[in-house]
Amino acid sequence: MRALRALALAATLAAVCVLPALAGSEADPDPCDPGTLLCTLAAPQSVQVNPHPLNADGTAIEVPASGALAPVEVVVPMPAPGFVDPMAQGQFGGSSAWGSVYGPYADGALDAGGGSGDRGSGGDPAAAAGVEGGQGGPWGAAQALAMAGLAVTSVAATASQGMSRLSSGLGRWSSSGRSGAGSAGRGARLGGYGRGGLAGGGGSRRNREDRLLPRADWLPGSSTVSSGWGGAGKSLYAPPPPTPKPEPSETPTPPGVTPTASSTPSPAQGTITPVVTPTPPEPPGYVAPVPPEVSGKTIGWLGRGVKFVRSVSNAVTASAIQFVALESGKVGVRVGPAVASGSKIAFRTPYGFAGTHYNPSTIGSITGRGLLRGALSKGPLGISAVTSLAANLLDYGLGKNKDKGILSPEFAASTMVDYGLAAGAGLLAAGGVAIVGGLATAGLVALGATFTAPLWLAVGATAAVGLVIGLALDHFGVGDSLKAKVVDGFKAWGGISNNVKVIGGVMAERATSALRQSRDAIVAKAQDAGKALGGFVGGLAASVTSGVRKVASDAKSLVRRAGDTVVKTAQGVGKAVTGFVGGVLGKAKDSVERLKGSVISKLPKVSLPKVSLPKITLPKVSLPKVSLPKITLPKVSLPKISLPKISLPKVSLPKVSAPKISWPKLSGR
Amino acid sequence: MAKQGRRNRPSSSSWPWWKAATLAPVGLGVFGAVFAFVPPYSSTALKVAIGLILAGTVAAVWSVTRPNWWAAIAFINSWLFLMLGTAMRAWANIIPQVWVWLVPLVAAYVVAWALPAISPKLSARLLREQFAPETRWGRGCLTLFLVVGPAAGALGASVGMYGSRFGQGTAVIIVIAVLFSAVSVGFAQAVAEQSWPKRPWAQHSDSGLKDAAR
Repeated sequence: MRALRALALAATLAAVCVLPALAGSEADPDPCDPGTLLCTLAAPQSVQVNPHPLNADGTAIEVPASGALAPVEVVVPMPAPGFVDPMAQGQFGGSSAWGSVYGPYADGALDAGGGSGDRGSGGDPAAAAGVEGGQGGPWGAAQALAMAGLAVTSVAATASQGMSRLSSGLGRWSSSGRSGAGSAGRGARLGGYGRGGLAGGGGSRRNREDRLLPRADWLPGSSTVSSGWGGAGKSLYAPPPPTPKPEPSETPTPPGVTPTASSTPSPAQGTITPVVTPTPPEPPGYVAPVPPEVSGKTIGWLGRGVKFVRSVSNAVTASAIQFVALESGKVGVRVGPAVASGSKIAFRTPYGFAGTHYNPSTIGSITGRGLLRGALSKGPLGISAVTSLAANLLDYGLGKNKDKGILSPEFAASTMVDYGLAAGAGLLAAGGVAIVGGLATAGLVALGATFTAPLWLAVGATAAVGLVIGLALDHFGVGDSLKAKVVDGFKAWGGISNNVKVIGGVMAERATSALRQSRDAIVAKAQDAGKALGGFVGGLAASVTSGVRKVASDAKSLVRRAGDTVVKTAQGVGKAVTGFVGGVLGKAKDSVERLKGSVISKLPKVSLPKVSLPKITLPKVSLPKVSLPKITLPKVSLPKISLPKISLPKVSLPKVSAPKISWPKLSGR
Repeated sequence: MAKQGRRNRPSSSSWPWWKAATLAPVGLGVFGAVFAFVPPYSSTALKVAIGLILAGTVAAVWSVTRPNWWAAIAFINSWLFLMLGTAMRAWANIIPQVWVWLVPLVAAYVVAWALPAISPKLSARLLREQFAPETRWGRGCLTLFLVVGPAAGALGASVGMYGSRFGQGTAVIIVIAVLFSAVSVGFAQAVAEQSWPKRPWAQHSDSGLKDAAR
């Protein structure tokens, strides 16, 4: 029986554990054929039944590939405008480095054109030299990066706004499609505006200016790229090959993502155009666009992991604001066609360009303010905070102030002061550069030439000034004195709070005593008034009573005298008369009492006002605990004085033995 | 002709004289203070700075109110002299032998101003490279400057403060010397290249050519 049980158990275990494994695919040497009923599919798998479907008429059907998310097009509102000078001026192929219509060769061009304003027709040296194609050329890129090519301030303002936007949200910059487009557009815009020498003619100034406005050639595939400087110059970033762009009608623009005018624009401003469509078929010979060169490769030494550098550069190059030198001597502010038509005003307004035509000096002042704002934006303030915190952590954690520690008030004071000094020095440096740059711009604009500082000069000047200011602050001990004062302030807080408590207690005591005095005075006055009234009434009553009593006494004496007379004259009638007179006197007394009562009742009731004294809750004056320092007296260990043992010399007195005196015995006889 | 003259006369100088007279001492004063207080403090440098600030203010007011090429150049030079002086003081702290650094620095400054006349093509190419670098390193530097642009002042102040605090004062002085030298020479070249075509004598020669053509 036991053997049967063991056999049954072994069979059960074999059925549960072994047989399913043997029934698996490995156990089956013949894999199942697709399509047979015996071979079922596993759940997550699928089989493409007919990879080449046909229509009923036998024509092939192109099965589109599965949909893919196209790059999201984001136009970042960066004020790094490209200064597209449409007039081919000078030997640079119309470089706008000269800033405006008053460029170095503008006058010559005008004169050669017979004053017709046809810049391209005659005397433009660039056109004559055959370098008309490169309107912007490399200049455009520089001016785009250098913020309009107008003022030294503009370049830094460009970077500042870019940096501020970086700090606002890096993630929004990283739009793969837009970055390439921005770079390409920059390159295209740089070199692609080749109509400077041809734009002249008989048109009106307005028409000419309209023709001079930048075109959409910085969008991928919308323009050919020609380089300035006789074709030798390259654009700042290599333009990518044209990217197939969906038709605008097929591109839904979600509402609510258009930028709004505000003083601090958010990085998300712009037109975000999500496109989720199947990947369009690639044209023959299409080469997939490569990422632009502006990437970590150009700053490899900074590290490829510093993604924000790439993001910022992409953001800057993706700017859409463009400055155009107009024939009227002003500068037109345009927004590239990448921004929707209804959003252009809102796009450029946050950058201070609400209008479309400005004097160059006005643009310089606007960008100068941008520079100052940039010094107070999140980026510089964050850098100041980080550097001050790191330096003080190093100093108070591992440096010479290690004994004080990072939890000491000295550390807090040092960090605060360093942060404030760094931020203030940065602002001062930016302000100085902005002011001087604005003045230089104004001075040269007055001459008809616009001064444009390269980006590195503006940034370098600002950094150098900040460097010297920081060094001088530390060298002359400004920071140390401030820190000492701040630390004293920290330490004084305990005493200040105690003093506040004491002062509050004294003031409360004074107030209480004053209230008591006033209350006592009120009570005393009330009592005096009551006494005065009571005395008046009592006096009145007493006088009335005394008068009545006098009358009564007079009448009594009269009656007595009359009685005596009557007694004397008629003693028999005396008793009766006496009784009569007594009754009269009694009635007179009653009438007097009634008179007294009526007089008193007619006196006004004097009701003393109830004086409700305020409840005075005296503040609890908690005197500071004075913890007397424990005075531990030092243990004074007196030196042990071992007195020398004085051993007195033993004096051995000589034994004095008295001589025995033997008296002679005397006999009494 | 009158229209052309009106056109030639720019209308974009919208700064009144009082604005220039107010802002010029402030802006130049920052650089003057930098010049005088580069450690160690120098009273002589302070006097020179005050003189340059006054001269620059007068030139600024002059150039803004009455367009004058020389006034504009004088203003910019007063500014650049302050920066150049700062660089000199920093170099003097590092290298006591004056001629070692003074001759190259002054020569570079002079050549920068004269480069448009000496070699116009090279001058134009240099300026173009500053605006739109074509080399890889140039683009990297441009990107770097774009990144650190708004924080340049705060970053410089931090380096100046903490560098000297942690015993790197000499390195900070070297950075100051190099930076101010480069900026002053670079600004001189940029300004010279951009203002050179507006030089008065060139306009006179152009008008003479026009008269001869007529």
